[in-house]
Amino acid sequence: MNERELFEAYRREVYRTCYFMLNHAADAEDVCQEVFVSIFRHDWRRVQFLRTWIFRVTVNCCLNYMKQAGRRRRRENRLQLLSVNRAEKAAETVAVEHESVRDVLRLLQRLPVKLRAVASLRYINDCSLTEIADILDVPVGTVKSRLNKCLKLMRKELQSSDAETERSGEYEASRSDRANLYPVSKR
Amino acid sequence: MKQVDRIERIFTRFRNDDAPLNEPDFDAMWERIEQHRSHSAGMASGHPAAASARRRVSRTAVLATAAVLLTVTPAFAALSDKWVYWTYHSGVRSALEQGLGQQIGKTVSVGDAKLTVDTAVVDDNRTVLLFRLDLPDADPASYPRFAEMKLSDGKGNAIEGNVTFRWNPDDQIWQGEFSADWTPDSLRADVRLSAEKLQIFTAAQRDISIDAEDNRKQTIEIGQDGIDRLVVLPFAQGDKTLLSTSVFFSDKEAQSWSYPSIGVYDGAAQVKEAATGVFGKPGAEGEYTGLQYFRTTDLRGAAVHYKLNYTRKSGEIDGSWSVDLQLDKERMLDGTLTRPIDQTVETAAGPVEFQDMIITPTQIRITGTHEKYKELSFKHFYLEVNGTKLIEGYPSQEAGDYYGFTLRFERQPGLVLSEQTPIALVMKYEVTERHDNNPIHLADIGSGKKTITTQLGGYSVHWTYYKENGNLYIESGSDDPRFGGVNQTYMLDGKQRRPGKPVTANFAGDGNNRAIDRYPHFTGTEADLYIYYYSTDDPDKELRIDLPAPDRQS
Repeated sequence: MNERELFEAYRREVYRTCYFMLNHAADAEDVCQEVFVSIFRHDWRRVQFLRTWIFRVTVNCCLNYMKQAGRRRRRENRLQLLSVNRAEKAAETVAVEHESVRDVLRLLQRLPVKLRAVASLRYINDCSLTEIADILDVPVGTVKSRLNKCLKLMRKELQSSDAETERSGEYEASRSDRANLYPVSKR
Repeated sequence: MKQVDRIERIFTRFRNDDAPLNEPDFDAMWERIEQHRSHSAGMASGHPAAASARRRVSRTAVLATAAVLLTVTPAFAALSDKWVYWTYHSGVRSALEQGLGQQIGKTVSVGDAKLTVDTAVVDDNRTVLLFRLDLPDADPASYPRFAEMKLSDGKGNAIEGNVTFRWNPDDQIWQGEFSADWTPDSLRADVRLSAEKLQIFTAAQRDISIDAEDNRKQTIEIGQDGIDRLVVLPFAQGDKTLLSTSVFFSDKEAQSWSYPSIGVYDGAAQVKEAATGVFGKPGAEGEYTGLQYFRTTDLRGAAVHYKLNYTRKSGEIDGSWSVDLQLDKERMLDGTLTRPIDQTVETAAGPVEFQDMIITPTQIRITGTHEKYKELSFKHFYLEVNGTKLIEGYPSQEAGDYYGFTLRFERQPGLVLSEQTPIALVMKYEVTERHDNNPIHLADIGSGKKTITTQLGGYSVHWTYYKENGNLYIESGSDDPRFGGVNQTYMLDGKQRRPGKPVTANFAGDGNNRAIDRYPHFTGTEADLYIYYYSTDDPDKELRIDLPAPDRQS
């Protein structure tokens, strides 16, 4: 396996994680690149649990990126925009997202960073609880409790956005779409 | 519907979506990563890369055949010669050799720091700007970086690019390259190159004292370059010693560029680490942590001493540099032509249709289509242009396009194309994906390693399995190099597939057929194992396609 092949094998997973952690396509692209630069700086061929390690580097790069003051400010501006009207999103992301992405973003974007990391690893990358514990270096119990908190907050988010949709009079129109989006196997 | 079900469905629908995200141009990203690595390697050696032997080859031939060279002025030829030996794109070098660069020659200064944009190379799908950074007392052992450098188009849209620097020892200046996968919509376009805050970084070391045989926390006060203190905790692990480190920063910004690690030196020689370390994970207090492994015997020499190695910011100019430019790609486009290929070839991954060959002054691109979701079964590609081999050519795909692919080959300086020039695409090393639905029975699973051998498509495949820390590990592999490897295994839980977690990264055509999957929380003593697919390799398989030659000089 060479570096190009490692890049091709993991680039999609790394980019997705960055995308949902940062909620911004251009930032995600920058950090995704930074992740691989960082990986290649190390002797990755000798890493025992490569996928776990790559996710660990990814999450850390995202956290570092968010910590940087300037970017955080820009990000806060974006979040303010989002909170004014949740249906409206930054122009740079709204044009490129599929409906399935928008739904996921709606659930994840308001989670605190630590919870968003857990939810992204679990629901986007399908990592097991022990893998997430390894990646974030926290006990499995902590992962479980963070996931519970995630679910609570995401439930709240759905409820409040439903209420908002209903208030805006669009509920009936969107409900039929919703039925198509979530096919029910048992009636 | 319950909210939890809705949440689950939202994520399931995302995961089942074929291409939910519009992904970035990963090929361009790879190119930037490679440039970064090349640059890092150059920095480490402290010398610029040697001049390419090819750079002066066939200059006469180019002069004789490329009509466009008639427009080259001696002044420009002298200027472009400064750049040819270091730009990372051989295609850009090629365009400069042909006199197709656009001379800019604009300088802007902030204090004593002068930024001069010398040349632009703009073709049908990328823009490269070559510039100089003239600093007083510039140090080749350092590395400059603008906190931000970007192009803005006439509407103020920012165009991000990749920036690399290399030291020119002759002129004692830094030469830079700004490269963006963007090209103006029109033949001419007004743009602005702007750069903010110039930072200079240098490698730094600090002697530290560690007792690697004392399994207690050791705190070393650093108090310099934004690093507050280093905490080391040594562990004896068999014949290895693990140094677990935590670096606390007084300047949080320094944490992003410091990359601290412990260097062990035996006299003047640095001791090689026994295994790959892990760096950068934030600790409980946000500190920078690291794990480094050394052979214990290596740490016992009389001359062994320790240093903290890191990068420090040695200078900063908090200013803005901005240059207005008019980019012109007319001459470059004059030298660009597209020729239809229209050839279909049969491969192990089904029919592949080659559509067009686009020849620009900087690169040759070949476009084609394959079956939906399939990858090309060949893994190595190169172009043969009249005996010159152009390598690279990794297939790339546009986001959301499941059929199309593009092979890109950078042109080389001195490469002459004429009506008669034979061009052939050569594809090598074919990998065939194969399926086998028969389960592999693993019996008597325990902590001891057991190995069984099964047959897959006529190949003997060894399966070694064992339990460790509640995980079941299953290793597969074959002594026959023509067996490509098992991509991933799964077990059945009722009708539900329970996939193993790949521990190794398995790639088609890498010549390594060993793979390891991990099943966490495995409690049984027997299991039936299935495989998604396996592959067979044919390293010698070669497919050559003669491509139509361009019908005019380019």
